[in-house]
Amino acid sequence: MKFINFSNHLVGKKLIMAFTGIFLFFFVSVHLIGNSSIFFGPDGINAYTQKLHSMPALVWIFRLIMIAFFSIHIYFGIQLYLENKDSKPVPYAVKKSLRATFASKNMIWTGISIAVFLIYHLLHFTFRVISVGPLGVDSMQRPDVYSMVLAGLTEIPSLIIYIFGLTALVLHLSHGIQSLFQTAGITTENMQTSVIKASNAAAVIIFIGYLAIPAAIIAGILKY
Amino acid sequence: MMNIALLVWRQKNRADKGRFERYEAKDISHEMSFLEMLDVVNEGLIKDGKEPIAFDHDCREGICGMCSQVINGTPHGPAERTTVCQLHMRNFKDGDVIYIEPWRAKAFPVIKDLIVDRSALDRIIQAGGYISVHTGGVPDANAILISKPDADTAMDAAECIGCGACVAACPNGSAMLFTSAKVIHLANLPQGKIEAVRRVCMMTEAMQKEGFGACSNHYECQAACPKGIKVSFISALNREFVKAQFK
Repeated sequence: MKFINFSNHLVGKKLIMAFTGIFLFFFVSVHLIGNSSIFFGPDGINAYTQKLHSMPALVWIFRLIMIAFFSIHIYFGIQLYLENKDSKPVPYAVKKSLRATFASKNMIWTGISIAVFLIYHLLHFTFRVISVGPLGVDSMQRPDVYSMVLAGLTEIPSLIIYIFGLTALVLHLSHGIQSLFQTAGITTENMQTSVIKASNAAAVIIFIGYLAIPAAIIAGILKY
Repeated sequence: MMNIALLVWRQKNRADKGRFERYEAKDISHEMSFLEMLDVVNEGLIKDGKEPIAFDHDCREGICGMCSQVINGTPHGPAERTTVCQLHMRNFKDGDVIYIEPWRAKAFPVIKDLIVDRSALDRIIQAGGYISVHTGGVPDANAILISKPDADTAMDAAECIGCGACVAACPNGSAMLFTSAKVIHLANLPQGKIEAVRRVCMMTEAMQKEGFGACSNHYECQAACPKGIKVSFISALNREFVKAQFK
């Protein structure tokens, strides 16, 4: 029985946001696990990169799915933001937030910040057109990602942008993860507090995980 | 007794731009309800030959869902699980400045002053908030057995009085809390299950058509609801909606 047009339905759109959001969260987690190989030195991350580069088909399929999911998430995110804004045309002179948080009220802005950071991040480390030069090779003829990251994250402007991106990410995820459980209809009354806590915890773990890389570089734990 | 200042939204009709006007409420007793305080202010206005403040009210015992004022930025005012009519002046103190605004949402156009048109909620109900049964003799009590947990959930959802505070509190002007309360009330009962798929689709679609926004899970609605309707009903509505896609 088909009663509705899914992608033009306000619950349908939210479900699309939730579904693509799960995938994007999955990517952020896998990316962190992969990048953590930097803590094993050049033998860790350079070997990891070489392994990825040896499977171009898989990498490209993954990238295309990523681009698709990102585009869908951004498209419906902006559409929902505009529609929701339109539903509340006159603001209150005085309005108290009872439960809404800074994170929940700024999803569109943290989302846009992540998108802007992502573009910078790709230009910085994937296409290497900003600051870091062409990718060298290490003593074992592997692409020297280790040196590139060390060089890239020790520059102050890059580091500031990196931390800005991570801050947007932690805010976006802290509301986004618990939100997707609610939108997908998984959250029950008894689960609610735990879901919110787990969502915040997951976001903070991602934040600390990514921050550990530049922190380790600055602390001198990771060096040339 | 206390004296307070009111900044009240005055708007002649739908087309009027509207503005805040300041009124002094003098010698207000702590025992008065908020609406009784407004009655006193209105008596003064009438005596002075001015137009009284128009506001919705009916039962004045917190069950009809007519009163609808955003008081200092909170629908139904600062007391939890309380409608404006049950809000007493003891919640305020001498010298307070109180902002009174109508429900704000695209789907709730202002008719006059603090009165908004909430018939959009009625049209959501008309889209599916009912069960189709043949009328006739009264059926035997307990002819259809309903488990205690299901009956309790249905009753909790049925507590909604349709005042629209959820819409007023929602930054998106969404009626998801209202709609989910009605959907889950019926979906938990055997009589309601029959049309559950059609109901969740039709009611959410009607809500969208009326110009209500989507739910961003801020949970402002639950905090503002005078009947304590919980956002877990929204999650349950989403669950019903997902289930409906596979039927």
